[in-house]
Formats: sequence, structure tokens, C-alpha cells
Amino acid sequence: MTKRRFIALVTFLAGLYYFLEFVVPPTVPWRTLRGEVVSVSDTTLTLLVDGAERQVTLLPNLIAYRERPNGAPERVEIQQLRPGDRASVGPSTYLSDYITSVNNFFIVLGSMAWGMGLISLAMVHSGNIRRRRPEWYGSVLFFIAVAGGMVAGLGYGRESGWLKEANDVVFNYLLRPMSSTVFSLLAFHMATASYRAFRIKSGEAALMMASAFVVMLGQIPIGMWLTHGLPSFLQLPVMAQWVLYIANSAAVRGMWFGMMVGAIAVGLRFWLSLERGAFFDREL
Amino acid sequence: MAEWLSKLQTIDRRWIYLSIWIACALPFVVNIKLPVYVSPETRRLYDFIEQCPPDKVVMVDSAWDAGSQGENWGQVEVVFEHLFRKRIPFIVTAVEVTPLGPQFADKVIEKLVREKFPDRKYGVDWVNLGYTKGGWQAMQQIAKDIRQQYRKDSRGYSLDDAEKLPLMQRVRNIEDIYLIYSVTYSPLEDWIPFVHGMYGTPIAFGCAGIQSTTYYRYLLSRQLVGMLVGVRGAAEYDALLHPDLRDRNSMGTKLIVPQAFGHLVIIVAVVLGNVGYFAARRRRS
Amino acid sequence: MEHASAPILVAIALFSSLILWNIFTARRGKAGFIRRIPGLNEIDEAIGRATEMGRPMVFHPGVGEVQNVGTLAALGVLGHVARKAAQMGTRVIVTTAIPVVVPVAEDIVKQAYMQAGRPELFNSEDIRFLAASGDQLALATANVMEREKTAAHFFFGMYDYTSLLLTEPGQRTGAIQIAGTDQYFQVPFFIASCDYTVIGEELYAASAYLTREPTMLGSLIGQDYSKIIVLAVILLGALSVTFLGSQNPIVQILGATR
Repeated sequence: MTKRRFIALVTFLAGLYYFLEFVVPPTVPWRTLRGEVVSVSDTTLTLLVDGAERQVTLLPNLIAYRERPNGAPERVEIQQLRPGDRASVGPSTYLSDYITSVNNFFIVLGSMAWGMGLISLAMVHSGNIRRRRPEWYGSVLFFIAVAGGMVAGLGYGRESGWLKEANDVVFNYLLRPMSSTVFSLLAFHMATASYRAFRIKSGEAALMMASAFVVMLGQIPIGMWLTHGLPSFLQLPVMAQWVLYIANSAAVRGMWFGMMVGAIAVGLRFWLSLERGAFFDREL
Repeated sequence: MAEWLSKLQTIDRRWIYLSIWIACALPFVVNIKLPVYVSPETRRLYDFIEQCPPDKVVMVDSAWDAGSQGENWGQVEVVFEHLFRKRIPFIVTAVEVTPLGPQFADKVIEKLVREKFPDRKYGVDWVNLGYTKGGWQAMQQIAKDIRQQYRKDSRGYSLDDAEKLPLMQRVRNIEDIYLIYSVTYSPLEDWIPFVHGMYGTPIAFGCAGIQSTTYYRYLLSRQLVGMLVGVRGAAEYDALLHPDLRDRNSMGTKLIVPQAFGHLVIIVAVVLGNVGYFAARRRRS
Repeated sequence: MEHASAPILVAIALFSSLILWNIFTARRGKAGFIRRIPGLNEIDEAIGRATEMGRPMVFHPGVGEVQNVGTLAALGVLGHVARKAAQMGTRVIVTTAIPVVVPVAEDIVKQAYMQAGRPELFNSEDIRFLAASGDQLALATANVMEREKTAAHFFFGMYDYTSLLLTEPGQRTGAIQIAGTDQYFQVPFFIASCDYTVIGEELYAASAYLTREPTMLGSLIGQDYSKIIVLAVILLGALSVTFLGSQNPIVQILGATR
């Protein structure tokens, strides 16, 4: 129970920082001046606020936002402000100052997880070897590949030498072409999947197939060749454009709205540890 | 007859694999070129680049590598050719996605310079700044002050080296950039809120065909000025650059042929499957 | 842009309070209705089938990082699958390319077996980090399916192009396949190669649907109210622009002018 409460507390605090960083304005609102820059010196900034000139002494906690012509605020150093710029200047709320460090902390934590991944792999493969499971020699190859990959990794960024050669061989000449090959398998899988799945079993299936044919033919020259004599709205490329621009965009937008609201809900449940099942066997 | 036809719904998948393989490999053996219909998203990008004022540069975020070169190579090739032809200087970057992006862009540019534009010079007509991490923060840093994000280019020259990189002496921040064209399997949508939203700089994407469906809404809302969709987009852009079919020899024009044949095989397979399905149903009834 | 503008702040406050209000209302015993989602109904069926055949199952929680909302939702589904599998005494193999998912998934599955009173059935080797990239993981998972002769495959979470590399080989083994993703462009692949597909936000509703927990159900109802507000705002914005022009006060209040 203590462990769970501790996890819930850490989750809440970490989430709270990000939440506050997002919602709290970067400068203290009631001490922020907004106006047109008149002049900037090493020690003072003069702003024209509501027709009156206001001098701001440049203290270390002051930060400035320049307003873009479209109204969007852009964080700049105070010395980068030029006369005529519209800017807001005020004392920092400090939260945003630590965002990079906090992000880096989580990146470091994430990197540590790679070690756990490697341990998990090592456990599976050493188990295979110990118990002489079928094709256990593949697991021996795994350990050799990990060792080879680690050595080759040392060559990253080097200009010359055998380590660079090893890096090139492993990553550029082996791994990348193999990735491309795997990617190209999609063409074959796609063909068999559509052959098997596209059966006109219902009205909806017929509609889906018709739109698939229109888009597929509309994307390639044959579609244009087949229908070039017809009125433009009946030409396959034009129909395909309609499907992609109108029908598709409407569906994508609808799904995005739903998903984003869903994301807020999932985020809230995790942040406040209301989610049951994943980490806790009962709500806290 | 119906019995024979019903077998069409259970064709061994290996026959389909073989048909796809032949359809995709054949155009590499026999030289075929096909005319294309130019879609509005391609034409809008072409027209936009046509109107580039002389004092501006274009930034090409070329963040793709071997995994998606089938679609992305052609998309940067045609735009680089257009920029070279119009003598619009351009800067190549690769933000976040893959560190190999700049190397692949170099390959495309070298090929174009060697074959079509031997008088274009590095540092004058284009600069490759290389890879950078940092997501939207890097994008905004480039917009505010490019030298804060990149001190040197991919060849190690300082951005302030007026002799090696004269082009960079007139590029300071987003005000000097006319268009950002981001090309990768799935371009980062962060370009839209963090650069277009804040600075108003026009953005265009070059993406894999499958990813394009989520980006059309940005074309409708004019947050993207144009988009090249997969191999098709590259072939269409080549068609705008070279109205005569015989002059077209970009990667897009070459690869649209195997793609067309591949689509046909899938369509034929689906039709055959359905003939088999209906034949079987008729037999049963 | 990095900080919430006033309209965003209002929207966050409104949506969050609606969701939380409904969660707490539901916890006080006011149950809500949830429509039928066939893909999720079939999960228990698939587990039952694997049990009857005496074969293990594969659960693949996508390729998103652990903090990805799709992955979190997928882990909720894993909790349900593991509980059912534990009750029926069936093995569930989890494969992933995300190292952080390993301890989390391990915890979920272990707890499920313990709750079912069958801790001896839990084997930490069944939670497998098989590769560091999605495509290699797909090949390795296909290998697991072939070798272990798995009878049910679950693909839930965030997916990229590797979706088809997982489901097509899976389809060939004859196993029942159920998938769910919030990645719009992978949905067609799942529909073509899986028996049932859960689409978009249905994935986020999955935990609620499967567990019928008041917290989850309340959250779903809160989401629906939020969506009604979003739709109303869209309608209001569209009508105001149509009839009052693009610089009208409603658009300005919504912060859509820039």
C-alpha cells in the first residue's frame, strides 16, 4: 500500500509540474507591462504603455515576449528587442525555466530503461540456451550480435579507422538495407490482405470497395487514362481528390476531436491515479 | 463453371506475391513512362515556389533515409530541380527524425548538379546545415536565430564564414525564409503550430502516401500551402517541370509505373476474389 | 504558444471538470449506458478459444512509448486479458520494442495471476522485449506466433507501418485476431487482416467497456459531454463566420483570429 501511495504521489507531482508549466503564464500577470518598445539600454527598457512612457529596470528575473505581427508571443532576450517592437516584460514565474532540466531528467530515466530491455532479452535468450530449446543456437547468435553491435556503436561519429568501418558495415550496410527490405514486404502483405478481406458481403462493404477503387485508380495514371473522355466530375482522379479532401478530412477531424478529448480523460485518470487495473489492484 | 470460378476466392497467396513482384519489377526492366494527372496539392506547391521573391530562400527539411527513400527521394529531387532552375537558393536541414537525412539530401543534390546544373555552387546556391535534434524547440530556435541552432554547416564551415557560405550571410532568421518544405515518411505536425502559427511562414509537406490522409485537412484550412503525396506527388511535380513526357526522368516518374502496376494487380486480385465469392454463393443457393 | 491561451485554459478547465464530475457521480452509483463495441466483446471469446485449444496468446501493446495515451489504454486492455487468461489458466505472451513497457506489463500480468490465485502460472519470460525497433519486433513477434502456435492475438495501442507486418503473418497461423488503434491510417490494415478492429477513441473506452468500472464509465460520459461542447463550438464558429464574416466577436472570443 505504501508503495502504491508513493507511486501515486510521484505521478501526481510530476504531472502537476507539467500542468502548471502549461497553464501558468510565463510572467507574473499583474507585474507584466505590455507596450511598444521605445529604447533598450544595458540597464533599462523604456516601453510606451497606453500613451505613457514607462521605464523598466532590467533585473535578472525579468523576461520578455515579443509579439509577432500575427499576435503570437515569441520569447526573446530583452537585449534583442528593437524600438517599435510590441513586447510584454515581467518577472518570470520560473516554472518554464526548469522545463528543459525536467525533460532531460525523464530522458535519462528512459535511457536507463534500455538497460532493463537488454536484461529482459538476455534472460529470454540465456533461458533458451540453458534449456536447449529448439533453435537455441539462434540465442547464441543474439549474444554475439549484441557484442558486435556494441563494438560497432563505438565507431559512431568517427572520421576514420576500423571502428568507423565496423559502424558502417553494421548500421549502413546491414541494418538499413534490411529495414528497407522489411518495409518492402508491406507491398506483398497489403496485396494478400486486401484480396482476402475485400468481399462484397454488405452494402457498407460495397461502398468501401468502391471508394478504395476510386482512390487507388485515381492515384495512378491508368485512372486518368480510363476516364479522360468523361466530364471532369466523373474522372477518377477528380473523384479520388473529392474522397481524400472532403470525405477523408471530415472523418479525420471527427476522429481527432474524439481522440483528443479521450486523451484528456486518460491523462486525467492516470495523473490522479483514478485508473484501475494497470498499476493498482484497487482505486486509491 | 461456377465450381471453377468459386476457386478464385482461395488463390494461394504465393501467386499473388509473384504477381506483385512481377508487376513491380517489370518497369525496371522495360523503360515505360506514363502521363499523370496533376492534383491540386502538387500544383499549389509548384505555383507557390514559382512566386518566390528574389531576396528569399527556401528551407528544405529533408529528414528521411533508406526506409522511405522510395517515396521521399523523388519528392525532394523535383523540388531541388525547380529551385536550381529558378536559381532560388535553399537551405537543407533535418530536424529530429533521422540523422541520415542530410546525407541522403546530399546524394540527390550531387546527382542533379552532376547531370543538370553543373554551374551551381555549394555555399552560394545551397547549404546543407545537417541534422539537429530538439523537435519544436529546435524549429523555433531556427526561426528566431538560425545561428543559435546551427553554428556550423554539415561540412564543418562556420555559418559566419562569408567566403565558404556567402548564402548564409543573408540568412539570419525566419524573416529570410520564404517557405519550409518538410519531407519525410510522416512530417512533424509541429511545423504548423510552432512555425506557421507563430511566424506565419508557409509550410509544405512531402509525405508517404499512407500518411497523407491525416494531412489533407491542413490543405483545406490553408495551413499547408501544398503537399507532395508519395510517389504520385513526385511524378506530378515532374510533370509540371517537364510538360513533355520524354524529358521526365526523375525518381517519381520512374516509380509511379511499378506503383501503377502494383495497384492494378491488387484491384484484379480483389475483383477475382469477389467473382469467386459470388460464384460460391450462387452454387450454394 | 507553449503556454495555454485563455480559450485553451477555459476548454481544459471545462473538459476536466466535466470528466471528473461524471467520474465522481458514477462512483456514487449512477450507472451509465455504453453502446456495444463488437471488437471488445470478442476478447473473452478469443481467450476462451485459446483455452479450449490449450494454446498461448500474444498481446502486442503497440509501438508507442509508455506515456503515449494509446499505450496506456492498451495496458488497460492487457490488464483485462491477463485477468481472464489467469482465471482460465492460459498463458499470455507480451512482446514489445519499448523497454519501459516491460516492467509495467510484467507488473500487470503478475498481479492478474496473483489475483486469480494462480501465481505459479506467471512466467516473467513471457513478457518479452524482443527488439529495439518496430520492424524487427514485428518479425520477432511473427516468429513467436509460428513457434508457440498461438491461438489468439491482440494488437492494441499506437501503431505505425509495422501493423501489417504483425497481423498478416498472424493471420496465416489461423489465430483469432483483435486489434485496436488510435492511429487513423493503420485502421484499414487492421480491418483487412484482423477478425475485429476497435477504431480510434473506442480504444480509450476499452478499459471502461471491459471492466464496467464506475470510474471508467463516468469518464466516458464526461468525454461525451465534452464532445457535445466541441461540436456546439464548431457549429457556432461556422455559422458566425458564414453570416457575420471572419472577424466577428464570436471568433475573437474563441481566439481563432490570428
